[in-house]
Amino acid sequence: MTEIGVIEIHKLRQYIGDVEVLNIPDLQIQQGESVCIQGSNGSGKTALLRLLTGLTQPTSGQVAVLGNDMKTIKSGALNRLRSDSIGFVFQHYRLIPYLSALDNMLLPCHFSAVRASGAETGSRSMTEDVFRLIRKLRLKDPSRLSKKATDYSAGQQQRFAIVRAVIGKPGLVLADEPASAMDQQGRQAVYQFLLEECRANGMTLLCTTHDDMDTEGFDRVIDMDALNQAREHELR
Amino acid sequence: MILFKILRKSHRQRTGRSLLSVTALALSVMLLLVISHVHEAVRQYARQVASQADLIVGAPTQPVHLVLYGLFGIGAPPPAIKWSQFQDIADNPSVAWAAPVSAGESHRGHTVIGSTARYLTTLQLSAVNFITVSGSQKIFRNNYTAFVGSSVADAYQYQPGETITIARGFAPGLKDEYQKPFLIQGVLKPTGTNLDDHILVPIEGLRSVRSDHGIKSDKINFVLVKLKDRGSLFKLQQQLETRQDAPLRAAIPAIELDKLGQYERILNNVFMVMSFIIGVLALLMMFFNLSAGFAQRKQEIELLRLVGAKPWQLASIALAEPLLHIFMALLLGVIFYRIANLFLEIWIPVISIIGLPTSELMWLLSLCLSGLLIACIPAWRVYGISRST
Repeated sequence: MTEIGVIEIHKLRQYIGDVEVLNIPDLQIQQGESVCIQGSNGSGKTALLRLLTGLTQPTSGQVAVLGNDMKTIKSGALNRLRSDSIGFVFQHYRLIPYLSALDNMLLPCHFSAVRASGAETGSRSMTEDVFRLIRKLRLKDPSRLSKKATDYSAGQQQRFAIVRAVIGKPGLVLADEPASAMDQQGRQAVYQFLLEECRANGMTLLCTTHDDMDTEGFDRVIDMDALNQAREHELR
Repeated sequence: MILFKILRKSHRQRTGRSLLSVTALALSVMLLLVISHVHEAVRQYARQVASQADLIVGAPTQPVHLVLYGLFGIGAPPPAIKWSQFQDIADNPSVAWAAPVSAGESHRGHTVIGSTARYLTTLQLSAVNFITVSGSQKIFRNNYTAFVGSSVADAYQYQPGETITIARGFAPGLKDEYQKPFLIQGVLKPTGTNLDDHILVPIEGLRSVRSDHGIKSDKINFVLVKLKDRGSLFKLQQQLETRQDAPLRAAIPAIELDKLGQYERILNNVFMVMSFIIGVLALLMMFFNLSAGFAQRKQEIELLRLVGAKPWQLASIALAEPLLHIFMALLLGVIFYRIANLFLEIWIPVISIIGLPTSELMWLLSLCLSGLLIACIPAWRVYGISRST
């Protein structure tokens, strides 16, 4: 079977001002793979994920996401890549505070026909798919999602952010410490959910965590402290 | 649809502060419209009234004084002139009509104007609840009838059919009171000017009661003159002002009002600038309201960009909110102005019905354009952030 590289990094260096934030000689992640990047705080996990979404640019080296060179990608193509193919979970979940929980979770489907159609595949509607996903995340009454997102607990908000990332079955899910606001039981449920959902739909999963306990079940665990050779990182 | 929802719900989140800035802007829009309205209406009214009489003739005094008292009852009555001088003017072949006006009597401290029906028509005064004069075009029923100003009627609950007495001077004793009463024929419609405090009686009746009271000197305060041909205006003015026996002052209302108009325009512009500044302050308040939550909005922008929102879509949301506010403020301002107009009609009825000329709306247009520019700043910032995200 031919392996398709979803993420391909070669001789990546990224500076913010004079500070070297990332120095990754080589990293490949294949389609359908679930990878956990584990590292201490400040090891560059979030910086790497932001780079992979095109929020920041590499200073030198090559970074390709789903076949797109992130250094030369045009604005329109980056838009399409993000909306159609990348689901992102922020560390602090970042829900739009004035939208309902349901609207927050459906957000990617409103900007991408591909995600909308992906959500409707296997479910009667996009909303039904949200209910299916949120049920899997053990939210007791998924029909009560019309309240403002900020009216829910931190753990619930994080669940909404996770559903937002996987709805519509994007090719790549990037999750930055997706269970940071949860207890041990909740964390296990979240990682299990992400792994199951991604494997079931052929999505590639790249998670970051600083906790050894969260790495169970992933195809591969990468030590960020070893992967990132940035000077700042070495000084720590 | 989701963009509209984001706009609506994001706006609702800031309802309190938005309402405050919209109301402030609406009030300044109202202020601009009301000031423009009053300015334009006063100008139109003054022009209309001034056009009815070509000259106002009185004893030598400031021409502005003559015009202001003659047309609007502002200030003290001009010094008196003799009845014979009025007759000379009336007999002049270039004069179409001349209306003598006397203001030397009072009733309970209110000035009693003695004149002819011409005075009423010149000042565009009309009466309500009046006893009609059947079968004739006459306004006064007879020489001993009176029209009372609306404020006088309100103050003493005067009704047509009641009688009033008048007295010589403004602080009369018992001996100054004329014996012959005047029958109230009607109540004058409110004008919002000093004329509402006056009482109007026929000059012939006034002269008659003066004579009955033993007053020998037969005097009036000024004469309203309409010429047959306005071409003779300056010639007659010169004639009257250079009389050898008793020189007079002949003021041309249109010229005097034009002089006053210059000061009025300056005052109007000062008010307009003040309201404009209030409007700009309201716009700045709106701008700071929008900018206050910018840190949070930056995170929203990043998130929305990650789910596929395009920079122009986010900039549109950022532009739509202040534009909506400006539109709402304009609408509210016009509604407030209409409501204020109702009060204006009560307070100053003679200036109520006008259409605002385009020149007066330039200030409003400038305010809207300033608003548009201010609205573009946050939208431009959002666009810039979106492009770099």
